[in-house]
Amino acid sequence: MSQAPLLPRIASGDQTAVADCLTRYGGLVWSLARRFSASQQAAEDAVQEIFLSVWKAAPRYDASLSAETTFVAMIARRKLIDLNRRKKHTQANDFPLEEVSSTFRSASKIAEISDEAEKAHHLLEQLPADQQQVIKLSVYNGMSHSKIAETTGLSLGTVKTHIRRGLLRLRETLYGNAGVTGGQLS
Amino acid sequence: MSSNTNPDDALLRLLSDKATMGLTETEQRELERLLAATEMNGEAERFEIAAAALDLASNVDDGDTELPAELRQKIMSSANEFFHTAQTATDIKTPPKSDHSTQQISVKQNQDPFDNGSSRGFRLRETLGWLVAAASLVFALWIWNVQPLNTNSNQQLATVAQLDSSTDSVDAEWSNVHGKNVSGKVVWSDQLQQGYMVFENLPANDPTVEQYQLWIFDKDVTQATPTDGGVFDIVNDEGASTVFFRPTHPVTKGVQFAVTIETPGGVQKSSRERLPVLATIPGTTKMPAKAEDVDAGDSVKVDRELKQNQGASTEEAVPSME
Repeated sequence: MSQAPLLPRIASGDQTAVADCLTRYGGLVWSLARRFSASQQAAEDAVQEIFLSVWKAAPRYDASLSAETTFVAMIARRKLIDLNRRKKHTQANDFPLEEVSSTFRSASKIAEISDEAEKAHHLLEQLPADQQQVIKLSVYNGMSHSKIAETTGLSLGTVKTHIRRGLLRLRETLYGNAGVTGGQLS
Repeated sequence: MSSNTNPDDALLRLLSDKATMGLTETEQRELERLLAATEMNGEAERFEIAAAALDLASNVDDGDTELPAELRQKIMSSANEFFHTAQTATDIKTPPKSDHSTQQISVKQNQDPFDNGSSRGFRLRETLGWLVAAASLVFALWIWNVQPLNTNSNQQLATVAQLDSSTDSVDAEWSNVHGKNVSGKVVWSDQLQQGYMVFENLPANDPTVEQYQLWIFDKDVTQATPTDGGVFDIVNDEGASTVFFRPTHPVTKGVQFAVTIETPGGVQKSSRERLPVLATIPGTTKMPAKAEDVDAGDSVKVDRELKQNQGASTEEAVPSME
């Protein structure tokens, strides 16, 4: 968390920051890509596209909005979601439910990753088990809402509400009042 | 979107879906409309950040994963290409509020500090705006698969000079259709089969979400079927940006140029629903859209908006693009 940001160096054309970026974020991006991709080759291709997106997005990084790690993860997720939509994959890599519902990074590791991740961890811990599971199936596994409903036996409406409520709560924790209440969520 | 749906519900649904599953093109447009209406344009990224944070917190991997060495090497190589290409691209950044004269662009580019190879690295680091603007050209050329961008700035300066001095080159100012206060022009040569566009106030796009696509209308093509000019990005919308282009197929006489916003990579046929700017070469006949090619409702709507933006005397038609 206290490491100096690398994206401003990328944005300014400092090519030496590329190696540092790969050292710092390569594992994270690789982990995300493998999780969202149907094959090793697809994951490798995705990682290359993600880092190209990172170089391109570097000038837009705003440290006041998020830690650099979270920003890189966001760019990676956006690209992976886009790639999967293009390939019409709704979910490439389904994790066993038991694993999804019971596993966390260690708290100390999360605190090291980013302030946002730490707050997200605290939020998840406070949620009822079913809501926690739905959110993780959605954001971590990239599962479609209908697939989550099918997998968990919850109604589609409940799944959607759990996800929206969770995202809205974290968004408000991170940035204050969203200005959008979502009707039934207010 | 149903008119009796609570706007907050609709907005939250789209923000949540975008952050977790992505959106269709129609949903993306609806989201942008709702965000603009509520002046909450940064909201989508905040929800995506929240989803990324939840992902990071959920990750069962304890952070010890390493990028495979071979893959790392590939990325390093592509990064070398990325930086090298950006470095050798022509300075396409022009001063804000310029009059867009080709002469002024040429003068600016003749002052390109990167002509001196010995000082490139240092000056590149000092010139973020140049890098960002140049990147838009780089990506456009990569995606168009036109010519590999191994040219140096002198070659691109020569292209500008050639276009500006070509006896058959034509130019036209951009007219706003759905765009707001976008200015600039397009310069085109039928003989050289290439041109360049200058934009001011064309909003920067996120290439992972959407890209600009150029369409060239050929006078000798009887149907309103423009030639795909390729996709491009505006990375930095401060000041003016210039984008060079070559059509994917020969154009006998380019008379009209339109820029649409499409999904990444562009489309074969544009719905014309998002058409920021259009330029018609003065003195050329307007391009009538074939009735069977154009959705009448859209045509009327776009034409009305065009006239609202440009005044009742506007004669430009908005053809279909496919």
